[in-house]
Amino acid sequence: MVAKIFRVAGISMVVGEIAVSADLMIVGGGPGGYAAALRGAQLGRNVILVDRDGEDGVGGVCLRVGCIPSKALIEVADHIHRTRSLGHAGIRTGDITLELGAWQQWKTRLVDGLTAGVSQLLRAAGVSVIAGQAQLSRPDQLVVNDPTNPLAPAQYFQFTDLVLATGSRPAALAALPRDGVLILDSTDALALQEIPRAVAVVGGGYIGLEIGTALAKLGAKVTIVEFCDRVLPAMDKAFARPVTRRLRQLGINLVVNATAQHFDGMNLHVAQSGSMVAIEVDKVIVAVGRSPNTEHLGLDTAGAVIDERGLVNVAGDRRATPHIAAIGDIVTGPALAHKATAEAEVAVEALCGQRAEFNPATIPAVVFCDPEVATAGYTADDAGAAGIDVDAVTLALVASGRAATMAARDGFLQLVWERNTTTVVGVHIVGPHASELIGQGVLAIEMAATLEDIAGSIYAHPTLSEQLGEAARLALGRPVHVPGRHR
Amino acid sequence: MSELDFKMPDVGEGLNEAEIVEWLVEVGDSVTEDQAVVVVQTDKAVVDIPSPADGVVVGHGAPVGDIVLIGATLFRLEVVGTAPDPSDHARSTPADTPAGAAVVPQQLAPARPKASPATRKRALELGVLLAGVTGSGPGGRIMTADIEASASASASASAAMIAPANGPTAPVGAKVTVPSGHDRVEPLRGTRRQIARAMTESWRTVPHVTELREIDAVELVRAQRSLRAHLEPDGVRLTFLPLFIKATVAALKAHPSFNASLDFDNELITYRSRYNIGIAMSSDEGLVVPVIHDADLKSLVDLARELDALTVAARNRSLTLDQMSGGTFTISNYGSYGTWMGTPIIRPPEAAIAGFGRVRDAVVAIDGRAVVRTVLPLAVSADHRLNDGHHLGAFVSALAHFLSDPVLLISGSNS
Repeated sequence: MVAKIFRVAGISMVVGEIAVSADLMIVGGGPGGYAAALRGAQLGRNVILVDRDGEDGVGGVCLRVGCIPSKALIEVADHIHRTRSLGHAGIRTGDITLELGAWQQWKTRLVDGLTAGVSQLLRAAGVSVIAGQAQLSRPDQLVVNDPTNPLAPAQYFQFTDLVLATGSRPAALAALPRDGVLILDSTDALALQEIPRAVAVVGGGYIGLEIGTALAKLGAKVTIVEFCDRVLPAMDKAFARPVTRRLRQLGINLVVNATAQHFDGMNLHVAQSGSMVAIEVDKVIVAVGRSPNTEHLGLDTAGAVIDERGLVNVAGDRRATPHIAAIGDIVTGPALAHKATAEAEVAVEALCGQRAEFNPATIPAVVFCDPEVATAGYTADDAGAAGIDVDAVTLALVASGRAATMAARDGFLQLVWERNTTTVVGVHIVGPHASELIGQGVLAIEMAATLEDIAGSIYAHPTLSEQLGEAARLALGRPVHVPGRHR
Repeated sequence: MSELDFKMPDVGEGLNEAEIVEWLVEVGDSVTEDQAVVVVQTDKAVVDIPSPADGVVVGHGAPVGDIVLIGATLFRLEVVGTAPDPSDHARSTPADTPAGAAVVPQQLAPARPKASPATRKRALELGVLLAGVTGSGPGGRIMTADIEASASASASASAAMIAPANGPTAPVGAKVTVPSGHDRVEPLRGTRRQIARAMTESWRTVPHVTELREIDAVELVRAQRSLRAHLEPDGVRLTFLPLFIKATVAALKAHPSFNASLDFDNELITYRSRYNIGIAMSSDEGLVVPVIHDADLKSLVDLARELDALTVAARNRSLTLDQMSGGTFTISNYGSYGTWMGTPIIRPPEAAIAGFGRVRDAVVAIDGRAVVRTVLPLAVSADHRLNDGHHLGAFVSALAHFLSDPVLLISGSNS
């Protein structure tokens, strides 16, 4: 409890191994780390946040080179594509193009604006932000080095509690080592100054699909190379179907059951069912998942366990040891920003002596491809595998008048409920704005809403949100917009 | 080092929960394998739960007074050296989440209680287990008010809520209505809670039919006195109870439907081959019912000695699960409190229970004359689903027969 007496007001440089007393330390300034810092401050803790990039690092991958920039790209790509494709609705345009350099400036401004906002929140909460690479030197001590300046002395912090939120980085492929020019990772792809003429995206998961779709809409000739037999292999097959149709409509070349072997600067060589295929491209984007940043944390000194996937073993309250918690991409569960933010609250409350547990009914997952895919809770198959007796209905998007006005036809909403109680346990949406619509599905699942609860709520007309009510009515055998005899 | 969640083990007899009586090892203290960590009380007994391995206890699953379900986390242990076989103890670590689950949303637990996130948070704050709360909301949904009602019943236990090893004490927000005057409110816990649940279960499910009778006990008293005098030099203190047990076993042999159990859900009647007689006893905590197994095979001396041992164990709270289990019929000897007559409550799945009142002198009419005789008041309650009034009458008659003429008990015959 040294920290109670010697609270650090600011940060002073310490020579040698004399440690500064620190109360609550956070490593990583991403959506998990900064949320943890703010929650700690709310609970009266004296918080120091360490990020590799210091003030510039707050917001993390998500804000700086992930979720936010990619959505900024997808947004403009969608606008251009939709404007071009609404000729049948009377839109007449000349040639629309995206000046990618100008887009980059806009993106930088918006990212800087958001980052500054987070910094401002941290400052207002009294959180100290320092730059450096943090590592445990003892179970209760963190050493922070400046990776850019090997001559700078290390700082030692004697902490009471610690939250690790170091996130993840794009996973590398040995066959396609990143050079940042010809072979890119997702971060590089979002920093492109020009739309490449032809590009291969290795990996048909959500990151690859999002980038590939956006680049195709912006005029690039895109090939997606996927190891499995379809895109979105981690999701239910039904979700991939409308997405695959759209990829083909966009002229994207899908190469599945394939392994990228080598890029010679002209051709990407791909092994597919025993034979080699050469795909002529200017650049290759590798998007094959993410790796947790846990190697250099020195967690073993504190007795914490890292599993074979590089994830830190934690309890329900996200503590790995009584005074060290880990959250976000470095612990089990989907590597998603909103999960990290939710875990941050739990971890900090647990470290502040409160009873806390990370126990959501569902963590939604969203893919910003075209059409958007959003999923929350069980699919019928998952539920079956988990031994839960469920029933499901699927409502086609064509039943929605609002979708018709958006010229959107391909998509559906699937509702999954527990048969006995009719409690909704899954909502899955493919279609425009699925990423927004899934919120009401999450709410329904968390509140344990039944089919009657959902059918008995009134949804504004004409909106896409009406689909949820209609799906519940379909489930109850009394739909309005689905023809045929029902229960 | 690795951490494991030690789950509340199934301590037998299909029990599904236990109450935390005492933490023997504080958070942050080390334990050795098999060292008792916590004392829990089940419906049947008080049990020490040992540590599965050497290590440090890094968290208590619940404070003293809380009810922990079988399979819920009892305590968290940081294991020193190699972790014990994970098949023995569920691991807390998430390492066994299937790979490839990266984009799949987190799974719901199969029987997830119907409760909103706010209600779940409140339950966690108040240390209330959702699974043990009956929801009052639409469709059985658990409401925040249900959680608070459940917690206020255990308000004093909540006040002693255990904080994790570090940091300030957990804020305890339980709103307890402080009654005016000098009423005292305390949580329903321990043996009292077990009794309350068992009695409610019995009274709700078993249609009781009770017969009351006074039996001429002149011969019984004579037999007891002479047996007591005979056995006293051997250090055996013979009360009426061994004779009651003997007579009861003889009557049960003649009427097997009273040494039976009813499984109403599966519509099965089981006629028990053993004669395991439960004896209702009072202890400081409340009613306990140790069982004399195979009473038909035991002599009066055996019965007297075993009764003494069980009485001592009940007083010391050292009755074992075995000593509390397997009963086929129960006797309540409430006459020892001075009671004349009572209407005993059956212990399901048993079919009946006999209550013995105080032996006393009473004026009775014999052949038109008022005569003073020693009488034994007897009450037998039976499960009316299994036995009708005339069955009960026949059983009580048989019991009366053996009690009023105890010499018959040495006949070896059943009638």
